[in-house]
Amino acid sequence: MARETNPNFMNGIPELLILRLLRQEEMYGYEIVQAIRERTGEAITLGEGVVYPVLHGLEGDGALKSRRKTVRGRSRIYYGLTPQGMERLANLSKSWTSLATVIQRVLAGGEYGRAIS
Amino acid sequence: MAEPFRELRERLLRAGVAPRHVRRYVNELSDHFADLTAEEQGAGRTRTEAERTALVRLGGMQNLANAMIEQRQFQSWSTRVPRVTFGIAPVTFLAGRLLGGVLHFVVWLEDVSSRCQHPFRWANTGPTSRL
Repeated sequence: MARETNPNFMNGIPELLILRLLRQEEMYGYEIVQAIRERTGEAITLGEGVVYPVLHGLEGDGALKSRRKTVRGRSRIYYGLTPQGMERLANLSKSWTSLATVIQRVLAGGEYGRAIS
Repeated sequence: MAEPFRELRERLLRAGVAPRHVRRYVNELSDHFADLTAEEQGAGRTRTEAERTALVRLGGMQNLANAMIEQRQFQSWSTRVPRVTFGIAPVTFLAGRLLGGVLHFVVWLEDVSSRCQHPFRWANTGPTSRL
C-alpha cells in the first residue's frame, strides 16, 4: 500500500503566512508580499505574483473576503480574514507547530533521530 | 512597456482559465507591477530597468501562468467538465424546453376543450360582461 504523502508540504507556507498576516489587519497583494519579506528576514521570497492565486483560492474557499478600497487615489483590493479563515489558520498553525517540533527533535537527535538513523 | 501581461492573459485563456479569474488576476498583477516599478525607480533605476526588474520580481510569465493554471478551481466550466457543458447540459435544457412545451400544450388543449363544452362561459368572463 502506498504511504500517505503530504503534497502541500511546501505549498502550505505562503497560505499560512498570508492567513497569519491578515489576522492582524486588511492588506492588499503588494503589502502582503512586502510584509512576508520583512517578517521572515527575506528568508522566504516568493515570486511576488504567485501570491494572487493563493489569495483568490483562499477567498474561493471562504477563508478570506475582499473589498475594493481607494487609497491615495489608487484603487486596491484589500483582503481580510473571515471566521472560517481564523479556523483554518488555527488548524494550519497547529499542524505546522507539531511538524516543526518533530523536525527539531530529529535534528537535535534523541528518540526520533535514533529511530531513523 | 505596453501591456506587459497581454501574453499571460492569452495563455491563461487558452489554457481554459475562466475569463473573470483572468481579468482579476491581470488587474492585480498590473497594480503590483506599478508598485514595484515605482519602488525600483525610487531606488535609482531608469524606467526601463525598473520595469524589467519588476517583472523578474513578479516571478516571470511561465511561473505566473502555471500558478493559475494548476489550480482547477479557476478553470472555466467548459474546461472542468466538458461533457456536462457540451453534452448533458444542452440535452437537459432541450428536454426541459420540450417537456415545458408539451405541458403548456396540454393545459391549453384542456382549456379549449372545457370552453367548447360550456360555450356561454366566454361571454361571462369577457370584459363586456361587466358592462
